[in-house]
Amino acid sequence: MSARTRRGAANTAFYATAVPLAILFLAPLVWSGFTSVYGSRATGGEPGFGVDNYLRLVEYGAGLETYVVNSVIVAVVAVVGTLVVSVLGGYAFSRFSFPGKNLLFLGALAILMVPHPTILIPIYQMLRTFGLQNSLIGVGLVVVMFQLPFGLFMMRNAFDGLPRELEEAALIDGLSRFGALRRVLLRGVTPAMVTVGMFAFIASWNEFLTPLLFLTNGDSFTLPVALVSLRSGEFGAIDLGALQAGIVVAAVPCLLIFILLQRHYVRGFTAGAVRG
Amino acid sequence: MASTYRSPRRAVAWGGALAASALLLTACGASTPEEGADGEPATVTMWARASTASQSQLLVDAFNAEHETQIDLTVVPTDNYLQKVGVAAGADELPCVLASDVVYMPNFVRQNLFLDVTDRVEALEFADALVPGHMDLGTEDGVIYSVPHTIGMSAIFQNDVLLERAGIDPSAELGSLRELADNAAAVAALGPEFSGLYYTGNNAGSISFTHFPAIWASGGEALSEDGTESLLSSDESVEVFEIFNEMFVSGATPDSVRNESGATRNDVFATGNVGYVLASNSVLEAVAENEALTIGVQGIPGVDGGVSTYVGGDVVGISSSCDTPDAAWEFLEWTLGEEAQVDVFAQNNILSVRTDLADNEFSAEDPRVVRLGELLADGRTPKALNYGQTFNDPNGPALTAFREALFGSDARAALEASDDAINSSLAN
Repeated sequence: MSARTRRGAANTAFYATAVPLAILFLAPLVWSGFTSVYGSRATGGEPGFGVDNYLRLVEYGAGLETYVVNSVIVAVVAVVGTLVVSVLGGYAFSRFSFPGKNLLFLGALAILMVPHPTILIPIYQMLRTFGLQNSLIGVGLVVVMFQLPFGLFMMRNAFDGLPRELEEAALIDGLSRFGALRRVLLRGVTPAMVTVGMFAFIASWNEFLTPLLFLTNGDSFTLPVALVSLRSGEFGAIDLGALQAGIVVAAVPCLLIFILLQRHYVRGFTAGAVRG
Repeated sequence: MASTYRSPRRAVAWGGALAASALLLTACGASTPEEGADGEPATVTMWARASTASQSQLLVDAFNAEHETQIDLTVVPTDNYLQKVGVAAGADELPCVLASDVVYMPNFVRQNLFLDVTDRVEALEFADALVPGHMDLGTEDGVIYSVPHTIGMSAIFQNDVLLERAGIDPSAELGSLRELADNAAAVAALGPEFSGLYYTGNNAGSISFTHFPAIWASGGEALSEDGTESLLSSDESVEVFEIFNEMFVSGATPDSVRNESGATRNDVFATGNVGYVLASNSVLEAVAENEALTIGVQGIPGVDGGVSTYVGGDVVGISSSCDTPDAAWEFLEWTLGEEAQVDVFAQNNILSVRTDLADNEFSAEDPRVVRLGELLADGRTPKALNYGQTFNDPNGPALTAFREALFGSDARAALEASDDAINSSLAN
């Protein structure tokens, strides 16, 4: 078998596997998009294409715009908060020695093991103590807490992967520790930061239980809560058209961010191969 | 090795659960609220579940338009209502006015979520006219905690056009469940696209809502009086389920009923290809008539006659966290008044929660609404502390039992076999 034939066979096998998989994964997305603009509810009567589903969605409850803005606020707090704490914490766990370091790291990872519902009431009361109840910032901070184990783990590994010599050179050049972190090391851990940030974004964007329970005012609900309200509509009847439209609206930012940051995200997992 | 990981995790879980329970108990103990600031128009917070929120919204809008006191309504997803109320109660952060599915009321009362409104209710001139089932479930040891808010009652809705095509007189009252089965079979015989009887067969809350009335009308009971024991394997109940099972086996009820969770029930009826649908009064608001669909109303009959209905819907009370109970009561009292019940509810084709206002200028225009009002008099609301976890929870024991009885091979055996599981759920 010539090299060309072998390559041809490999290509065929690749496409024979990849195309069905792509169809399998894309079909629900395409179907959501299609059903959001097609049907009697999409046109307000007769079957066909129309945007009535989106118009109803825009007017639902406090208005789609409000819910999207609320979701964005929570996402910004979650992403920024997770990044700041994970980068500083990951750096500390990687570079500093202090008593109880491993225990503290284990404690942070232990958040993963606690079933969320059991700590909801304590968190609720903590937020009240800090005046963050019924606040989008409070919800964002709760998401930060749930993202911490992954963020810390990821960032510690990323810093571990950077040669200490880089930092030492920066210190010798007169930078402070914080300066070295900011000007030199962050560059090396950018892929890991992108990964942590993206996970935090997707987690906060999709988070349902926390905003549902901690926000007591309907005008501060986030998109997932509004969509579930829409789903559990009048007397159990669902406005499936508007719900599909909502799913499309909710999915688009996740898709865009994933596509835009995909390159960094993949590098994030292999980060640490920097030469000294 | 696995156990070394498991035990701390369990300890954390138990610790969390204990802390949550302790907080819940502590919070429930505090029930005396402060008065709101005098002279200041209060803003009263209110929660309602999404499935009945449009009716609450109508009342809130009308009230806010003409009062200084303002109601701030938050609509909570129906499926997560209990969860949200539970956490808020634990943190003593319930809204001032809390609407609840009437069947959850005994449990909420037991947990001290509501303030005593006995004196306020008894001072109402029309106190005796408030829907009895709702009042009963919101009353514990003679103390009243809630008032009726919205009515959701079960009935049979029929497509008069289709019945005529099948040779059935739509104006004739259904004499019995057996007659319903015969008529449904006649409609189904019109062609493969037609169904005789449709209902929600994959949701135990809905099945109890639509099938218990047939048991009551047959002279039986679904639950013991104190709500701690299932009587679903009694002869009357078994016979009811057997007739529904026969309809399923014969094809008078379509296969799709097995998967119907309620989401598309109205849509299926709206196609005009269904003879009868077991549903709630919301059908009259939600389903539009057309040349293939004229909607008629019937009560749910028993095996050999009689008629009954399940009176569900929402009640509303003042929560124990409320610090402006007078302002909250101002709203509740107004919602029960003639203006709200007639000019807001009846004008929008919504049933009144007062029996003395069932006949009004608006309901008189629609004989179907009048009929529903009459049926309300024969209505019942089952009272059980653990009704929700037994019948409404998708993981509760009732769903398996009902589905096996409705769609399996032996209704009696299915109901008898499920007695223990249902009893233990009701008793816990």
